[in-house]
Amino acid sequence: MKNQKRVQFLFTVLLLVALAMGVILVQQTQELRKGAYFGRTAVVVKPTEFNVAVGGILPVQIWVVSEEDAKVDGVEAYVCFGDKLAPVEEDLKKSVVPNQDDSFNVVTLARYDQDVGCLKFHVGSMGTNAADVPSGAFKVATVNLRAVALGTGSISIDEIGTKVSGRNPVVSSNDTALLVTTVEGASYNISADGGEVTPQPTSPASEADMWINYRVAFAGVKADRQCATGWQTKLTALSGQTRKEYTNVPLSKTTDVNDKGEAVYEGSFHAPGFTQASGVALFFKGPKHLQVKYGKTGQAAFYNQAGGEISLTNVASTSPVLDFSEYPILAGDVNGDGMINGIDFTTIKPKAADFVEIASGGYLAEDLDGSCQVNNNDIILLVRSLNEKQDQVY
Amino acid sequence: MKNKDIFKVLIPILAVVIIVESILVVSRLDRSKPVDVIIPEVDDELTEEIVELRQIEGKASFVFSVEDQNIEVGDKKRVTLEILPKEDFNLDAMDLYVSYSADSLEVSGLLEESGLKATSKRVSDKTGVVLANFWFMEEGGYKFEAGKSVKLMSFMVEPETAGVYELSMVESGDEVTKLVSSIGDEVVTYGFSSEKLIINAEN
Repeated sequence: MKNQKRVQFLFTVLLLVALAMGVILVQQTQELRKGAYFGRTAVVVKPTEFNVAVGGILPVQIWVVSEEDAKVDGVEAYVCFGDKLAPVEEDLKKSVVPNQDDSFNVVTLARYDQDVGCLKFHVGSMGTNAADVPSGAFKVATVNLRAVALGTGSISIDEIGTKVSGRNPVVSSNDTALLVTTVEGASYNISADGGEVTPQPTSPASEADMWINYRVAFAGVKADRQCATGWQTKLTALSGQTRKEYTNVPLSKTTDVNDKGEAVYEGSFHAPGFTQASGVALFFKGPKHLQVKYGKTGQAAFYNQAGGEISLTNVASTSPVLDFSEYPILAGDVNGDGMINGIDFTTIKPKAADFVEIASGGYLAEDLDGSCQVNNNDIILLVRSLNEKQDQVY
Repeated sequence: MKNKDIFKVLIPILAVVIIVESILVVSRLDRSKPVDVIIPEVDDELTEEIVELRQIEGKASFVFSVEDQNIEVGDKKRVTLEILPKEDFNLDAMDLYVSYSADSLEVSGLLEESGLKATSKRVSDKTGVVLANFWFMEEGGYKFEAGKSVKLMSFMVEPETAGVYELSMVESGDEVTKLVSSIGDEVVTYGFSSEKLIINAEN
């Protein structure tokens, strides 16, 4: 009888404990949705410091570091940089260059919140096998931002607005999100005088890689132009089947002018991954310019042949200085679509009618001759480029 | 007494059930933590993206005309391209690209019509394209009125071999026909329709 009472007491206590636990659990918010995290990641900006002139480009690399080799197939990042920077391209998706080497092949979203100086974008890996989806530390994309005003600031990643998705190793699980636990940004300094050019965001050049020493001019940009500094220029080196593209190659204004009185810019560049020494063709493209092919040094007109005749060496001092300044880079691709057409004209026309101006050292896509004012000269330059291009193509 | 016995059995069973359930719930909570954010719903946001260039549909038609579509090999006929506006609109720029079979047709004598002056014009037998870029410098652009067709350009066509050939507006590829206008600060393109011109080349 005494034993029975003891059991009865024990069960009553047990019941009360169970009830109390039940009440506590009911009071907690229970997550019943799908979408729990299956891993953790950090999202960081590289490099951590940018120095650039007004009008120059900052190639902001977005990297992800996933823990425990979690595979990442999509990143939606909210990158904030303030009002001194702006996306390079009007077509925002073109400002975000996915890192195809690590299977990121599509930009599905690009939205610029100008009032807060933030860019939201989503880069994904579509149609890629799980085995090829990257894990560990890898670059997701490069966001090209243009420096539009003097000053300093920071580039930050909004942790709440940044989401990472991936391939859950547990195939039966619906959870594909990764928790963003760490974000790291960068700082920038925008100077007026051309400043230090931000290093090219590629792997460093090796000893076998070629040096490219060059002199170029931009159509219509005379020596006295105040708004033609820090223009981001893309260089493509081609030889046989090898093709390497480099953005933001160094360019310094010299005191020299070409036969038309246009300022000559020079640069020297150790091209990572380009080891071809002969039969080289180079393509230059300015920020509002058509891509121009150079097949030989001293070229003064359109190079209307396949391939190229340029020779290079892997030593800066012995690689020849290639002078392309007598055939300037054609201006007029205002919207950056690689062509000159009625859209570029219609973009420039109203600004030329209003003589829109910018401060010395500033950047305006429609100001083709770097005079700090949009006017008829820019329209004339555009028409010249159109005719030159039509002559070449048709 | 019998009732008392039932309680004695029921209460322990109930307790055990509640404990088991509690353990299950607790373990589930642990597994799904933390869960503040779920997978990004990209689809919803895609609609928010800033589009490249707005296209306004169906403003005009391009019409080819020729005195006679049956042309003898070695004979020349002038082909005219007109625009037929469906409604009133202004254009700041009009890039016209007409494709033709350069292997079988020779095109020459390209002229602007209606007093229009092309910024650039070419006949390219290399690419089989007749092109004319009309960029209107005047403020507000060039006004087209609904129903009032405007001749834009004309050119001579001479078949070199017998066959059926066509001329058409280029609408795909890098260089395409464009009607461009500005509405406030926005640059827009206007959609258009066009018909091909069939040339019957006879010996």
